[in-house]
Amino acid sequence: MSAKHDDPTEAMQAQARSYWDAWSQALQHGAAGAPAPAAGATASPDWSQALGWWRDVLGNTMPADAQGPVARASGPAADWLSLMQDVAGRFAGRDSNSAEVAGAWREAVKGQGDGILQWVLGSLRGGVAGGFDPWLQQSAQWFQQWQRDSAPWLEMPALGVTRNHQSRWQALTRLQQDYQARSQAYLEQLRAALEQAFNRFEAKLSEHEALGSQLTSARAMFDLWVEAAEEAYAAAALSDEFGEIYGAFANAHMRLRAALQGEVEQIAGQYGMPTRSEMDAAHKRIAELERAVRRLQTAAGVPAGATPRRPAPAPKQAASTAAKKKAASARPARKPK
Amino acid sequence: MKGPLGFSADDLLQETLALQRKLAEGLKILPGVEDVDYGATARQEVWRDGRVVLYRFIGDKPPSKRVPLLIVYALVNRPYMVDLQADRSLVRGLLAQGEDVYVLDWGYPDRSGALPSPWRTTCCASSMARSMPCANKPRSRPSTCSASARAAPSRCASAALRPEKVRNLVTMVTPVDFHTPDNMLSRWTRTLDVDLLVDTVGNIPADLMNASYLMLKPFRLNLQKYVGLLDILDDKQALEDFLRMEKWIFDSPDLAGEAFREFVTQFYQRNGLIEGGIEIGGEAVDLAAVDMPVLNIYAEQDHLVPPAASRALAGRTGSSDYSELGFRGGHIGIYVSGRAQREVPAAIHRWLAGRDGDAR
Repeated sequence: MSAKHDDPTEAMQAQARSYWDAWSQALQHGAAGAPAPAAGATASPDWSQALGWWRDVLGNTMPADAQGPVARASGPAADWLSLMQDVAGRFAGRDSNSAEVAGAWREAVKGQGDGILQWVLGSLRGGVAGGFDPWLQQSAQWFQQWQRDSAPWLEMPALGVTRNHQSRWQALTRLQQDYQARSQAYLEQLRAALEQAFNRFEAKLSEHEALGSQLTSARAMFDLWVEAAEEAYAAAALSDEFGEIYGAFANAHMRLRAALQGEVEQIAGQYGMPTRSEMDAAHKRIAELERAVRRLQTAAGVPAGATPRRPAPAPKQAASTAAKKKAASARPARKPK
Repeated sequence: MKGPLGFSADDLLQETLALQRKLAEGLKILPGVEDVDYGATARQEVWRDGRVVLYRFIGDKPPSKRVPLLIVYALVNRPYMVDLQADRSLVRGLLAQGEDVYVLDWGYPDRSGALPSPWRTTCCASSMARSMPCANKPRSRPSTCSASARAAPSRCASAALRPEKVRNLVTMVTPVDFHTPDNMLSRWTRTLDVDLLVDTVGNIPADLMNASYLMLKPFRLNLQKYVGLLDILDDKQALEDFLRMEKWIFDSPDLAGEAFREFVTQFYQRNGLIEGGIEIGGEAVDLAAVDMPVLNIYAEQDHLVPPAASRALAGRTGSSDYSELGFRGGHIGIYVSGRAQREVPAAIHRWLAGRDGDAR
């Protein structure tokens, strides 16, 4: 392999050129007067795919702090932007009306199913991959299978030596069913808000029908959609009904989680392992001891938390080395790992 | 072309090519961006109690003001928001005005049970005040600036319980009336079983808190913001600023469970600062006891703390010297925007200047 090809930057740039050339040619073909694709067809290259490729090329070359934002830009954000670009491509260079454009957008979004809402679902479960309780989601399928297999037994009155265990598992099953129902109700609220967002989008589009106020880019369409979606969402999210359903969902989540934690404690106890409750009890005792020490220190005239005064750092230097050292010494404490 | 869309296929091509150029620039610039850092100003630890630390910030020149200014930051997120970077630093702006600036850092709570609560806010404030120079002299009691929504109501309550400890009170983006119709978080917490939540998870996970905040404006904060990132791929400085802010947003401590329980129950659910009935450490809180001068700064486009929620403080304190300042910006912009750097430190300094010399 030549030295040139050993350079990942050059290889990356060559790949980029190749990709972008193909992409540009596709759009130039459209610009040269090719007929507009029929509804449902892809009019322009897939931005989402391109951004995914871009993220892959970047790979680990970027700093850790950039990994998350780049993943979000090339993930859900790119999916929505790409979808809007696709819709924009269908109407480029021809007459249209607000209802037609909003209808195409509605169709495009709904065509993605709940997949396009995954980022919202992730948020409501706690904002991290798989949600705040990823195991809760992962276990849902197992739970359903278990309920099917054990249905008759779970419905039977709990008796005998395993009575308490059976009773607990029956309660757990009901909590899981309740959680599923509440989360569905919450999802329905989000879907209803989305439906209202399409209507608002159409209304906002109609405000741009006059010459001179038309939208001039796919990005402008995207921004207008976000504005409409936020307004619709805010109207829903501020309603009493939404608040009730949100609260019921959160409470069902916590009831299920508490029951599952109880099961984990049962298992841990059977294997002689320390449990969360035991750890919390120990923590509480330590905290009480610390407070007692503080009270004693106060009574003895020792200021709690007093630390010796340190000399102030040297005045700021213009020299970059000194400034860097100073910045390092001034850096706030980092999150413990 | 008739209709709402006024672009041709060629326009879309140009838009695509512009994005292509941005992405290509991103391929060159992003690998050269270093992990972002924060904290622009030198500081000195002057007091510590467990994880709670009080810092004194050191300016380029000694403070000209005798009365220290204590910034009590929120229990959620990290206090370096007030000193994010050299050109976005409330602390630096205040130091430049001659203020003697202290910042309270609550640290990262664990499950030990030694958890900060509004009551501990009061205790800490009393205890650490002894570490401030001259703070034990009646004329030099600190002015207090409560920064952000999660610290300020508690700080108001603390000021009401210990008015003799605070010379002046500056509240920033502080909810007082938690039941204004446009308060989304308040709507969501009304039917929340707070005891069940805290008893189940202990401290409230930061991811859960952040997810709730993102759901206040889900399309803007989860989608549009990151599309905006593509716009600045050719600007290293703007990229670093974006990443630094992103780091701050998600560098969140878990919220001490007991503090969450007290805060949500008394403030969000019972709206106790308006309706009454707040007790902290067994002591009843009455805003009428806040008799020191008050400057209430709110953000006019605040999606977390609606302006009406903040402005409800007017007429509810016992102070005969109450002022309001509306900032044209949002909940975070009030700390880090260019406008904030120009306006906020100067406004606080001007307001304090007329009040620090008053004997109380």
